[in-house]
Amino acid sequence: MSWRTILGVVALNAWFLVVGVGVLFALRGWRSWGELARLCGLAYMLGIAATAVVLVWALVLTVPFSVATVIGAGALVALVAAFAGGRTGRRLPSRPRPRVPGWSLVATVSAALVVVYCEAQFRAGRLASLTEFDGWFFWVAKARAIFSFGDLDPQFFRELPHHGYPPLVPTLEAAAMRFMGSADVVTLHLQFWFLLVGFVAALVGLLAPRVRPLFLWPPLLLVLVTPRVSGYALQAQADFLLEELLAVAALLIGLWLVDRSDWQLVAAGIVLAAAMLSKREGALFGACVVLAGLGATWRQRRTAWPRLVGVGVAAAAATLPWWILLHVRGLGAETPEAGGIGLFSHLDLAWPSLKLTFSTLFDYHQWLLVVPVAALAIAGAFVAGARRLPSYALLLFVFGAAALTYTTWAFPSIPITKAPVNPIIRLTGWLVLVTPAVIPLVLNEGWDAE
Amino acid sequence: MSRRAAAAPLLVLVAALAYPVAVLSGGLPRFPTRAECIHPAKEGVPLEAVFGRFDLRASAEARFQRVLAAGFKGTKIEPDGCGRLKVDVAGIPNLAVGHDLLKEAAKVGLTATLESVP
Repeated sequence: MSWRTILGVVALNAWFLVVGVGVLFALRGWRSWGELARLCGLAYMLGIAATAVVLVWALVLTVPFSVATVIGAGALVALVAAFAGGRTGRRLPSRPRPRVPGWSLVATVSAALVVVYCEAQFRAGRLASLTEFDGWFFWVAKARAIFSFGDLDPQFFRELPHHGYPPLVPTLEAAAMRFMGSADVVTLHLQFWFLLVGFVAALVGLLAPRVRPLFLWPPLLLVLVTPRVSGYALQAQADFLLEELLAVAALLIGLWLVDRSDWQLVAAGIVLAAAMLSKREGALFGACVVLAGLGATWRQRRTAWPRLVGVGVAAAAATLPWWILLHVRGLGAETPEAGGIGLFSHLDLAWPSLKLTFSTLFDYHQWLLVVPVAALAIAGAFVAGARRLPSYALLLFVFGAAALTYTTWAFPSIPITKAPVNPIIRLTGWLVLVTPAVIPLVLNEGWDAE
Repeated sequence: MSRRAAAAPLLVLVAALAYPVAVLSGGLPRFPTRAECIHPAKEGVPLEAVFGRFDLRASAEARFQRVLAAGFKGTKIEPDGCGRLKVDVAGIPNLAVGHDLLKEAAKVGLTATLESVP
């Protein structure tokens, strides 16, 4: 660890932010520079998602991987975005006028706590060792291969465990290594710190002007201080990145249910594409987000469904180059052992898998009271007379729990346990991270409905 | 800008500065030195004779072959936990046996140190 490597990670993430600002300009623009500052978190998440997807495509097309490739991929995204923004007539606002929005006491104290929390996470992450099993076993090993060989070396990726896992996270890690100038697996954890901070900033930026501070900040703080998030969010593997992307996508679709602004769906599509290229479960959980949106728009299905289905299809299409590469190389996609009708051969596992899902979601030692709080919020909003967003949130949790049950049920060789051999604790994180993204909207709608 | 509107971001800024100041007031983080990887030999714990630590695998290999050729069976090359490789003979039951082994090594021109196994 040295200042040079830290500055490398800072430079990479600053580049993602610049690219994301370009994407944001194309999607919606901004009325004031203050609004852009508020949406920097979303811009960062869009920048990292779009650039990383293009980088994966570049690797599939055997474009040599280097700092220039990372800059080039980002520049390509930003140029296309700027061109699209220009074509739709977007203009930059006039010069900035200093103006500080009014902050409530809850917002001020909570923001201070979140800032200190992020500083503490930085302090832990900058010297974290690579001890997480999957991290050193294959995620970072793949990243080091991309860093060293400059491509998806056919022999290495064939012989490494889990060759069928999508490569977005190793690609991102390799980009960080390139910018650091070495395969520094300690400082690498700071890349995941930036992702956590970007995720928090995206949520706050999108929700702060729309929901009451009391509905926004406490759920966010509750999730941040859960033992799982505070202890594992910076691990150099794919779980938290996947979950952060899914939560942002779920929020964007939730906002679309209210606003019906198409830019929100396009942004959700970009983020979902990155999620689906992060882990195999990304496609499953991403489908849950889209399905929840479909369920919540049942009455407007004629107009809403084609758009929502389009988001899912476009996101899935972005992963096609990777699956084609696997096919061309004769490598299996590592599909579930008992997927499809295979589930019926293992019906005895259904109930234990469901029980494991719920006992993990409600496990105080992992997630504190996040899921019970979310359940109470949804129920309260229904009682208050709200329908649209509570329905969406309820469907997210129902489909999400079903998908989590599937992840255990479809792998009969994995013991039904919370021990690390079963990834259920890591996977349940996606519904936990969805909570501070969607529940504030639910609470706000419930409050307004009463 | 009203005084109240300015107070909120100021409070966040104070919190943002207070944490690192409080942490750094206790001094910069201390990193162990490579010397701290060497644990002095003491009675009652597993002991090993270390024939040298090396940054390069080739250097460690050369010393390993020399120690082996001198008849010290069970010699091996291991990471020392501090980024270097050590050539050692483990399984020494007590200090007396360890000192005898060091004398044997000295007779054939090899220098070794007796250490506790961490």
